[in-house]
Amino acid sequence: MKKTAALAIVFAALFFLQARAQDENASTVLTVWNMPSAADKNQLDVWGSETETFEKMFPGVKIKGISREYKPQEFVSVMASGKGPDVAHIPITAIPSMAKYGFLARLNSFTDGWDQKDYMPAIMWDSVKIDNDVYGIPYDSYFTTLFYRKDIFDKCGISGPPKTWQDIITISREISAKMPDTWGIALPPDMFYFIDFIWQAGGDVYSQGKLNLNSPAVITALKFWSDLKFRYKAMPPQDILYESDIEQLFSAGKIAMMPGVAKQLPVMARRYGLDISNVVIVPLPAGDGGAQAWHAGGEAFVINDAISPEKKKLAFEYIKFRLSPLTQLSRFMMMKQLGMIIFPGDFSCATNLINRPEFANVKGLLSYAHAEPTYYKWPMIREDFNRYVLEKVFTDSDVDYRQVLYDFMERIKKEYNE
Amino acid sequence: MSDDIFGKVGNELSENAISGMVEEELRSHKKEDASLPIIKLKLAPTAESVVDIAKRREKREKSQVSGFQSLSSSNLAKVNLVNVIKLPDTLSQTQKLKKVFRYRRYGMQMRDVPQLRRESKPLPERRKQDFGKLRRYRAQKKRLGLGLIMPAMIIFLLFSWMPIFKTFSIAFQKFQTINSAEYVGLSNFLNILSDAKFWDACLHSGILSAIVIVLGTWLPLFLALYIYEARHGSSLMKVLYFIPFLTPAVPAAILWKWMYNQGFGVINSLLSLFTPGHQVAIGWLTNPHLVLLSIAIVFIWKNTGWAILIYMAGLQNIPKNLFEDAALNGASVASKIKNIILPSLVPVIMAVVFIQIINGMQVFSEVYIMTNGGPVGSSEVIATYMYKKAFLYMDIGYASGVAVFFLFLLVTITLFRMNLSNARKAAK
Repeated sequence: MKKTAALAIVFAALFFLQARAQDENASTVLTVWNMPSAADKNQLDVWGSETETFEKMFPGVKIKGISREYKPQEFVSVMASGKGPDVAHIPITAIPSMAKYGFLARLNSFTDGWDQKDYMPAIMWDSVKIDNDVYGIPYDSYFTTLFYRKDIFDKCGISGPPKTWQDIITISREISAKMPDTWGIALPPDMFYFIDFIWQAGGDVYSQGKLNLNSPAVITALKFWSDLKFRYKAMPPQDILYESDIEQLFSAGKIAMMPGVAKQLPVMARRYGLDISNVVIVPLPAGDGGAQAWHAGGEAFVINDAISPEKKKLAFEYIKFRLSPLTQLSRFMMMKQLGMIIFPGDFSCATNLINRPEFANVKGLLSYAHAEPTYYKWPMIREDFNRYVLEKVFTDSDVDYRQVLYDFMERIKKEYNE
Repeated sequence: MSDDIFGKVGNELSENAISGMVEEELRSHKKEDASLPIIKLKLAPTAESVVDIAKRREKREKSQVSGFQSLSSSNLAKVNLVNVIKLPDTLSQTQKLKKVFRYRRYGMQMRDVPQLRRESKPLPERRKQDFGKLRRYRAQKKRLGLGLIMPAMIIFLLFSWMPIFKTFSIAFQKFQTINSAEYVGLSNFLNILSDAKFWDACLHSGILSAIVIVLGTWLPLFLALYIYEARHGSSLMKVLYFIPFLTPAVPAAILWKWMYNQGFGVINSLLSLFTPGHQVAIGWLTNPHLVLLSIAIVFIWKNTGWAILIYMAGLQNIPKNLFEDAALNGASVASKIKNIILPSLVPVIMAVVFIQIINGMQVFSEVYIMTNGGPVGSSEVIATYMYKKAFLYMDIGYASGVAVFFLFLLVTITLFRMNLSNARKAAK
């Protein structure tokens, strides 16, 4: 009896393995980490429809979609185990370090002869290139912008958004005077947003292969952030407000302005009940010298370096399909049909839909866009800057900016040989 | 009053003396029936043939003297000494009383009571031909145990020990890319020794553990004592305190992050009720001097439940007669805690302290979610530092070195704890 049961289990296991092997042989399975989550039902429908079309175009290929937000630990672990996805969507800022550790395939041979390549902004290509080697295909693009609450502006009789740093101060004063419980703006201690102010002050963080974080522009930007909080009381009195706190306060109407990227808005609507119709997106104000600047970011498709050359080719076909003008147009149509809000961030940065009214807010933003350094140590330096400079500036009103920056540069020199 | 009886119970007591004392005790403790051992006597029916209480009561009534008075130490000899029990000096008072009343019930020692004596059967004869069977049976039994333990053992080795060995090997390597690790000997460990950030993280972990030891050891102890002594609702209280332990760390940390929020958190809002006209805005998670305390509070809130359970188990192991004797001697609650509970609970308290130290050193989710090491690095602990080194700074070899270093630290603490408890056992 026992022997019969054991034999039955062995046969069942063999049958299962055989069936699986046959199934895998019948079609090539392409694992992609870009499927929207089940919470975004409409987005999932759009993705499903595109996948179906691709599978019809390539009958031997099956797409296995996995819904994953990019998390470094998860991505590193799965790639290091050799079981990583064939294609993934990751932020362009993560590309330098992931490429350095050998996870990402070099894509020059694919992109060199690709006709869509030239339709993508050069700044986006710069973000995925390391020493002229391409490690990612830019997908969407976003720009840091300023969100403002139209309802608060209307209540306070403010006619338009701030155009300069000085306007931020003036508008914040007006708001605080008319609505005592409401503040003008909130800024998180995050280099992601602070870097825009450095550029607006006429500086840069990385030039000619060197970090440049104690320049006068950095000091000017630091002083402006500190003054907004401690001198002009334009920001809420809390020591530190992280991004999620600011999103919550903005959604609750306690803050009139915040920096952000358009993609954040639907998330804020879902999480904190933000009424998107009350929000206006405008370019970030110019610095005291009149310099307009914000940064362009986005996500890029990457291909796993560990897969076979044939699979890499197929993976590139998939990326090409997703970025083709036809797919982008059908996506736009379907989103309209489903009554979804159109965000430029849902489309390729090479989209030919830029003249549509839905894209009006981002049209022209590229002219003043900057990219973060494609230096593999940048994410670490950015994290340290948040911790040891920005958090210090927000928690200490008497801070000596020069000393803080000097100490930081010393620390960086010691730790990263910079 | 009640301790007089123990003064009078000597090695030799007559039945009359006992019954007199018992009745007197029952009269004097009518209302304190819950904890006194003497009450157990009520349940024991007296064997008619052995002690005739009615007759003795008659005798006492005649003499118009209460049993207790007539049995004062000076006139014990005057009482009828027919049933005299010899009690060894080594017995405690309670044991003496028990023996006395068993004797009263059965009229003999317990071992001599016929219905309680088990009939002994002769052992079966060992036959030579059965030895083989026995050997096979023993071997089968051994194999069964091995077979049963094997699946769990394989999983344990695969998921617990293999990563540990792998971490050890990675700790001696430096990764240029994921596929090109280079052996660097002790270089990672030497770098750790001169890494100021690592020692800052160690200091923060140490401070966190110290707060956890102070609050996380004594608070559950007092709560456990309260629950132990509570007459009503102790089960409900145990459940209520244990629920936070069952809450997953991530939602708990998010919840507390909202509660701690400087601008609109419920804690500051509640505090503002006590300061009319002034909005309290304490930066629980944004003030570098407060942040570790705030994290420790969350950790203690979450771990108080299991510590209470451990203490409760310890309290239940303390012999009841110690409390009874103390109560009869009129000991106060503080005296009971000082002289009975704390000395008896020392091993349990030590166990809780060391578990709290180890847990406190390992804290990750609370810090990662609530502060991510901020503000200004003041809540960076070893676990978050290790994580960042591995996945943000991508220095996996160095992070493994930190992990190994950390492992040795925890093993040292554990060995210290084991040595301490062994030394205590040896001293006993």
